[in-house]
Amino acid sequence: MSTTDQIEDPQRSLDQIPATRALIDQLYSCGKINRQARNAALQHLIPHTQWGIWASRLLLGLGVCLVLSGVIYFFAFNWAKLLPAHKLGGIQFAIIASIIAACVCGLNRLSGQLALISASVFVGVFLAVFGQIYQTGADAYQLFMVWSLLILGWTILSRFAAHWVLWLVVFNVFLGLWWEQVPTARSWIGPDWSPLILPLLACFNGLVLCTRELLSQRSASSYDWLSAKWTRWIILIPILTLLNIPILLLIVSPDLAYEGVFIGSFVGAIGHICVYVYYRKIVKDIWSLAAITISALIIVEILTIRVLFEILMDEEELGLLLMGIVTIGIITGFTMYLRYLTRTLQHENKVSVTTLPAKSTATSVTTEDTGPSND
Amino acid sequence: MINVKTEQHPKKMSAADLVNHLSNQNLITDPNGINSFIQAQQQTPDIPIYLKILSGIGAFIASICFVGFLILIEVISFNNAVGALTTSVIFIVAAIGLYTVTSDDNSTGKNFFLQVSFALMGTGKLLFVFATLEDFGENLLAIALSSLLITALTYPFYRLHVERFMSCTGVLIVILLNILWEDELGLPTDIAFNLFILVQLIAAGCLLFHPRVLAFFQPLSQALIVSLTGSVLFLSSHTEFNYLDNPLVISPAISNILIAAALIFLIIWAAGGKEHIKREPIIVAMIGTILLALLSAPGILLSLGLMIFGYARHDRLFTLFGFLLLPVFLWLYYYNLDITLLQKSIILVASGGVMIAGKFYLKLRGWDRTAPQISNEDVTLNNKATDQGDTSCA
Repeated sequence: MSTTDQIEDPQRSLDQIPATRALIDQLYSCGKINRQARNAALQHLIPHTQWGIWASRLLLGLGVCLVLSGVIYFFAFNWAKLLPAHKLGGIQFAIIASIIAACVCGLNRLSGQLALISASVFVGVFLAVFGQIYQTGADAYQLFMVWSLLILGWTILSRFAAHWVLWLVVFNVFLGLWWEQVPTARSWIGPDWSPLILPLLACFNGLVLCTRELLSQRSASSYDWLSAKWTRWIILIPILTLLNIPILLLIVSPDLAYEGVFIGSFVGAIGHICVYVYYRKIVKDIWSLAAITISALIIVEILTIRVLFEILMDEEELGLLLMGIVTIGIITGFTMYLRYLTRTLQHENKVSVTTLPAKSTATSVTTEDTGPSND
Repeated sequence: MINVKTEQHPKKMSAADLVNHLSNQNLITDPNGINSFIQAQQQTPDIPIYLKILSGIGAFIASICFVGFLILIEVISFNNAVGALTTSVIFIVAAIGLYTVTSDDNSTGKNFFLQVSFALMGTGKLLFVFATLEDFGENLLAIALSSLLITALTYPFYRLHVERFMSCTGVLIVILLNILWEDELGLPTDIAFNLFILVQLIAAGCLLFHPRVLAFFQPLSQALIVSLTGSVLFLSSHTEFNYLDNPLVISPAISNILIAAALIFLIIWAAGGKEHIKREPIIVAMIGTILLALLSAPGILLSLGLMIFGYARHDRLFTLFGFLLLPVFLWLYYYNLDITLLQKSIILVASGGVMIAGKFYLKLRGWDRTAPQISNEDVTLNNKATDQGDTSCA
């Protein structure tokens, strides 16, 4: 069968084919195994103890999130009957209790990590309540700046990706608010420069991504916690969005685009090239390349529509027809390119695996999942 | 000198391991035949999701452009239904023809013509809906009936997964909108909505759980899940959307019961069948489901169901979908509670406490361990210790 729903795939050995429940169901439905074999296969594939771990982690994660949300709601309510000293004392107690829990449980366990994240959240709550009680008049960015500085040590100690995500969110909010409340509000820069925050944030997050890639490639097991792929995508996708926005602004309304948008677009173009080269040549990750390609596709598509709209402003019929055809052409081109990339990376991956012992000291290529998953 | 590093992934069970296991237990008589069957099935793997999304978006934009073009050159006239119908049939036939001709072609032009065929199909379907609106009555019900008719007619012949999925989702969403904002069905909104939920649950259940259902119905089953999520999202978020200024409130009680019953069925299925129903963890899970139903949280039940299904089927798309929906439904649930912020905070802390207590109950009973000899203390958060199967959604 050769439809668009399938791609050509070289023959894989049984060792390379993952065993899944869908595969067992397929064997059963085609009469290749009987019901007894199906049940035994399912029990072997998904033992009931795995469900326990899954449910346990879900309950713990959700439980901590709900408790923390409850605490934030409680202080947001600003209960008048509660004395300021009690409010601050209560949060301080929660911070200390969380730290003790983290020490008791240990940072190599989920419960200990979540306790440390709770402490970091409570620090933010403490700063907010402090500002609420004493009306310090401080700008909002100062709260996030102090918050990110105070929890940085715990974040480094935690060696936990979710803790870093929290820190990154806090720091990005600080940068965004600082840009709005200091350089823009105090007229250090004109309004034409305000979009410059987008490449600034992209550069900062790009640095974080670089650090993540460098550390996760180290053979030391102390950075294993960084190797989960979601930690890459959760940084890469916002970076691509930040790089994309100034370029789109420039394309959609070039008359309103000033210095900030021009510089942002330049950084955006360079940034796209850099991440592409990195994920194509050094870390061969098809999913990251797909994200970069889709980001580039959006730019090309919008640019094409804009150009056609300008050229054929008086010929609406022809313009719409051409837009339809060009859209199909662009999508086809990018789809074919992605398919080509998938095949090439699969091939390169195979070659690198077979030559691994011989070249183990001669290359720095890190190969990752390059093929589409059947799961 | 630099080191090569191939990134290591948590160990997964391969098809070879599975066949060996069954063979060692004398549960299969022809392992070689099974091996050949598995390899034959794997020769045509599904394309990655990002390519499907990409081609779907492209075809949708192109279809809109083509319809605009046809309206401007007056091929489509709202006063000439016959002309529009004829054009739509031509487009649909051309799309199916182009698809059939190019589907077995391996040349580089294949992708382009398949995209053209996808766009032609989209244009043809949109034209069909325009053309038949007048006959069906120019309302949302007419759009629903018209799109249902054309989707049912083309589904067996046009094999493109993403097109089937988009068309089915479109039909189901139009039916949902029709239930919410039109009075054409002759049923009270409450009853129509709950009937819609029931039909979607039964259909999705049949298509997803029955082992003999063909891959032919996969796009329909996925569309049913998306539509079911949309329905529950409306049910859970009435205070935000207010059903577009139509102050319509549907009681979630019946939907709650239906979704809770579906989740209980799912738990029994995931446990291996009704013979396992009396096992303590299954009973505890069912009690938890009933408690959630009593709390009136259909969205949370649905997202848990998707996560359980995805985990049981090793289908990461469902797991991820459920995982993303869970915070949304949790937020909607607590946000919509008609109580003060203080009371909400108490409820949040209490429910969080119940969940943490649940975690410790699992630990107490020893259910959160990979194997009896491994202590839970050694189960690290990075999911490295899973010796069988795949427990991550990343």
